[in-house]
Amino acid sequence: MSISTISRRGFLGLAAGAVAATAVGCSASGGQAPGGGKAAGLQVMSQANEITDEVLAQWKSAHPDIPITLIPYDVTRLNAMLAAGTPPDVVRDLGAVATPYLASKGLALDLTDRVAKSTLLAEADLFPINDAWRWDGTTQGAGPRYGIVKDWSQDMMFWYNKDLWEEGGATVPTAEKPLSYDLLLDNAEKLTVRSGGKTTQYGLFGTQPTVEWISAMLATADAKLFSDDLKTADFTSPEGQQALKWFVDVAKARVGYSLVDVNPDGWDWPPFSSGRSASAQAGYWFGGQVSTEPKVADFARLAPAPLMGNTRVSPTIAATGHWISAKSKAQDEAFTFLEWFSAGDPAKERAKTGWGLPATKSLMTELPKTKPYQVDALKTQDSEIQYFKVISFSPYAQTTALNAAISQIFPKAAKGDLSVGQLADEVTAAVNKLLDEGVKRAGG
Amino acid sequence: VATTTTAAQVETRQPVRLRHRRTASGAFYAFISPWLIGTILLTLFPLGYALRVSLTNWDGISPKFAWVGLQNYRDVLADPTTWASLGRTLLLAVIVVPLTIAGGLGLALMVNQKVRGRSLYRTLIYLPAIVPAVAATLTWKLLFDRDNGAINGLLALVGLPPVDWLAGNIVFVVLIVVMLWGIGGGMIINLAALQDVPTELKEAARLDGAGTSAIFRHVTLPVISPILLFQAITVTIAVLQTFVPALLLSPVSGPAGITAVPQANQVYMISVYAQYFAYSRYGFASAMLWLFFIVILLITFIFFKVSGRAVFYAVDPSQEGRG
Repeated sequence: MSISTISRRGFLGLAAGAVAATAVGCSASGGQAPGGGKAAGLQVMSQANEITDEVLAQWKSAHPDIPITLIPYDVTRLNAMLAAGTPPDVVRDLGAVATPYLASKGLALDLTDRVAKSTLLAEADLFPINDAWRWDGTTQGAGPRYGIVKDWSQDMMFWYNKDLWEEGGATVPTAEKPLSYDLLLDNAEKLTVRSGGKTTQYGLFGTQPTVEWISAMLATADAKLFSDDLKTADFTSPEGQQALKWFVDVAKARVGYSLVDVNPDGWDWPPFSSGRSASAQAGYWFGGQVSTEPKVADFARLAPAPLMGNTRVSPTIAATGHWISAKSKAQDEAFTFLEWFSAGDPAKERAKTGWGLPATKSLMTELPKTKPYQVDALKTQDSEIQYFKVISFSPYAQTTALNAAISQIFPKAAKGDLSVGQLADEVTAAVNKLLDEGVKRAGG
Repeated sequence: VATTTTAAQVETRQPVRLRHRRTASGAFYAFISPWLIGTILLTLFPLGYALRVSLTNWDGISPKFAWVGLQNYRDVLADPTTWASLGRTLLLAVIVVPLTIAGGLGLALMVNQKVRGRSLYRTLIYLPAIVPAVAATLTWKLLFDRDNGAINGLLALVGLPPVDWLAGNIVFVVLIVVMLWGIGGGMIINLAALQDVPTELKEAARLDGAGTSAIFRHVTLPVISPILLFQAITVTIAVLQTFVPALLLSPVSGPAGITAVPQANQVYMISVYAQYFAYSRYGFASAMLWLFFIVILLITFIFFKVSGRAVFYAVDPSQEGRG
């Protein structure tokens, strides 16, 4: 049929065919059987500053038969790939908050048997942090393994500028004696400096009332944010309100960046390194960043996680690592990459830099201890590690969604338009609405 | 002269006419096919897909979801946050659309005057319109920064305290400023329209004793009214779909900034984006989009209906194209 004689009906038929082909193509890819997709090689969705060209070259040298395509981590793209049924083979994620969600949706591959047979990831050598990647269907921290940590920290710890703290008369914490959150706020008020209507120095690190942070605070008071079945959350308990009140007090006092005084830099390093903030909220990994500026190394010190109650608990809210897609066609190759990256040569190299604690105990000896701040940080970390605990998050909604709901309401309380009790009520309702939607989706 | 057409003549003429018609229609379809196929694949298909998603409770990741019928539409209509964001969006349109059109027309009238260096003025006024929206917004964000911005620097020079421009309700003013910065684009369109106003009409009016103001009201405005209607519709749709400037004025950079957008700048598309990518409520967000699509269609329809008498067409549009 020549183009000059195509009929209207024929043209519309062709157009409809094109649409149908697209639709069929989409549904075909969406309905792909597990393992459908790439025939050879691995797709790894991660960060280029972690899986660097050097790491890729090392891998290519060690495993020339398994080429890797690195896809820059992009949650929107990941969602699209998952929706299309063609997820990457290996994906970077925060095990502490993502595991229940990934496991319960059947997205992540059960790695238990593979880990049991692995020599690089010997069970006895694994730090308990890897339990953050376990989910038994009702509890996080037990059951099958769905990922392995890359490197980690106890994220409620913080760094402080010892010079500013000492000059400002603040109570300096020790490895054995953490501060309470209330004392931390008192310190922050002493350390905050204002001039001409501007704050020239914040005493406290940036704060945001997230479910991770509040859960960690509640754990020190032997309380929990989520119900046992993880289907609801309660911010209205006395401990929940105590935690929310602390965030409101901090925001009202303007002693650190908050949701109503947002850090334009996005994270604590720029204000901390420049002396605009006397504290930075981060765990051991921040030491790697500190090493990049000698003047910061002179004053930066690591402090144990503060307590809201009387029980020392120092959890992680990241447990950054990787999971393997249940649909991966190259599951063995993906696991080979996972164990190599988490416990092989790249892990050893990372441990030497101090950008986080390794996934395995045997690599602890590689951590840096040449500079005074590194020795001090390691001492604090060695003391802190015994207080590690996995906190269970809900599989029914992503923490990013729950945190978004909280951050929409919190500014009203910080501005005095809501009492802490009202804030707790509204946040509980908003978060439970999202959880309830997830429960319904799961057929619960 | 015998005019009777023989049967043989009819037989030879009909295939020629039919072939000509087929060739013409083939060329027509060939030329419009890229647009038509593009529309089907990139507009109608996504619309249909969004409609399908809007009838589910899908979260964007989970392989499990349920059909919920029109529940998402009911939820959207009952959601005060959605109505608040729609209200802010309409307020933005009520402010920005008239200012954009009137400002563009005013600037066009000025640079249409025979003054020295008018090409330079035209270039300078048009220049901001070709700066990418991202660059322009980030520049304004720096200027309005509370601690280091030039605007607060100027206030400090006259002894005024710093203003937190990017927080609270005042950030809505900053959004308006950013959106009006590209007003030069409207100026160019209006300038072209002004230069198309027949000189003889203005001369005739002047001979009849009309002043500058009367000529503008009774000659210029009617002649350029179709162009003004075109701008009213396109600018309104663009303003209703405002997204990038509102997101970039968020204190937090990147997609994560969606939840940090100050409430005053939470316009409709910001809410939609947040529902998709912050709350993972794909069904709800798709329902929001479909309802918004209907709202925009209605507004466009109303524009055409109410502008019927106000817009002057040199050629009756209903007769245009008839040979």
